[in-house]
Amino acid sequence: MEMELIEKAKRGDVGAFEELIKKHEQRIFNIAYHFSQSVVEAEDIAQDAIVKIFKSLKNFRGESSFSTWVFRIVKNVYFDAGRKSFRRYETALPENFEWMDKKTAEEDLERKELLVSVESAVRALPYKFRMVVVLCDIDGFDYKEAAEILKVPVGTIRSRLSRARAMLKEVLGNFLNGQSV
Amino acid sequence: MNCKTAKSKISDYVDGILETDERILFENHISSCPRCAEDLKKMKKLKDIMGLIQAPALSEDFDRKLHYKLIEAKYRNQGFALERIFDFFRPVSVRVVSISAVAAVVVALIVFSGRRNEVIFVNGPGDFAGYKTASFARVLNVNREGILKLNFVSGKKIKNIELKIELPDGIALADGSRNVEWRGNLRKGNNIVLLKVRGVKVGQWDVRANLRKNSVEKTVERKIFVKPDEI
Repeated sequence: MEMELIEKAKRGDVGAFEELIKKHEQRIFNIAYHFSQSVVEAEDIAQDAIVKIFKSLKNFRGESSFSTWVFRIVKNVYFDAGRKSFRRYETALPENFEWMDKKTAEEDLERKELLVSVESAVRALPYKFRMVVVLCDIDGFDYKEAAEILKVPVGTIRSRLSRARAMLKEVLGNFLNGQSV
Repeated sequence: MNCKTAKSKISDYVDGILETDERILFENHISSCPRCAEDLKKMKKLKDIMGLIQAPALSEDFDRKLHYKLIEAKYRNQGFALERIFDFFRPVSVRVVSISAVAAVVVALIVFSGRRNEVIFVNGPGDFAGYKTASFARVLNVNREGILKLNFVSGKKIKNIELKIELPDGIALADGSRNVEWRGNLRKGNNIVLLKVRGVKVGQWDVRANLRKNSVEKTVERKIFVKPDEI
């Protein structure tokens, strides 16, 4: 079924391509979302990546799974082209981040705030570390898939993830104590 | 295992990918080192929290906007950039259609942006000089008005011509109707019809114009793009 749709889409069948890409859309958007500042921007960038996939489909030869190939292009669009798409969204930690170390504030945190704070910390990671965190910890790709998408060895994924988590743990500090998720 | 080595293994441990030997050494260290045990606890919690982070659901019109971009990409891929498609509508890109043995009618469709109130004109070019400077709109926008221009260039005067124009679902006249009928004479030279239209649905649509004289008829179709208003 997937191969049939791919062949149709290669011949320019937009409907077949839309059916093919449908199940990946949300994940493509998710990755964009964690590198942008707004849903509108993330959707726009995700759509550009999907259009790129459509235009590049003639080059897909089945050497990897379609899913891996798709996300490799997504990664290329998002980052390899000079990271133009997201460069302007590189952010520093929010100014109010310090308060998370204060015990009084910590006690008042709700689950939602906890998630928002961790999200903010993830957004503040340098992009190559953020990418592995988003792929593996947030979007659920396994190490092998992430390695294929980013075209790096599995060991590099492991080490980047380890460093990224250590950075997050450092930034979030005592905030990770005691609170139930 | 010392603390430094243990710290470097925490991430792999919470992912369950340490080899058995390393895992045993790591667990032995954790059981005897409160600081590393605390670090492990934080790391597990961090991983749990990140698993709960979700991006918002895609907006309702994500697929509609994407569809338009894909259609545009398809035509660009095929060498039919929108600009080129609309170049095709220019009067210089004329197409000769036989309407009788003695007359030739050249038809071109042009989409203009415009704010004139006219619904339809059939007249000579002199009456529409103002449109010569109208700016081109490459596509119509949904819920916005534009001027669809048809220029019937006739090699000679032709009497009793019947003209019918059918607009597709994606385009309507300003008053909401979709059919135009006119009967009259074509003059030699330009015979311009202007339709004040509005984009209704996003997509690529065929506008069909049918010219008839007695039993001879010719139908001409042209593609018009209607794009989302916000793009």
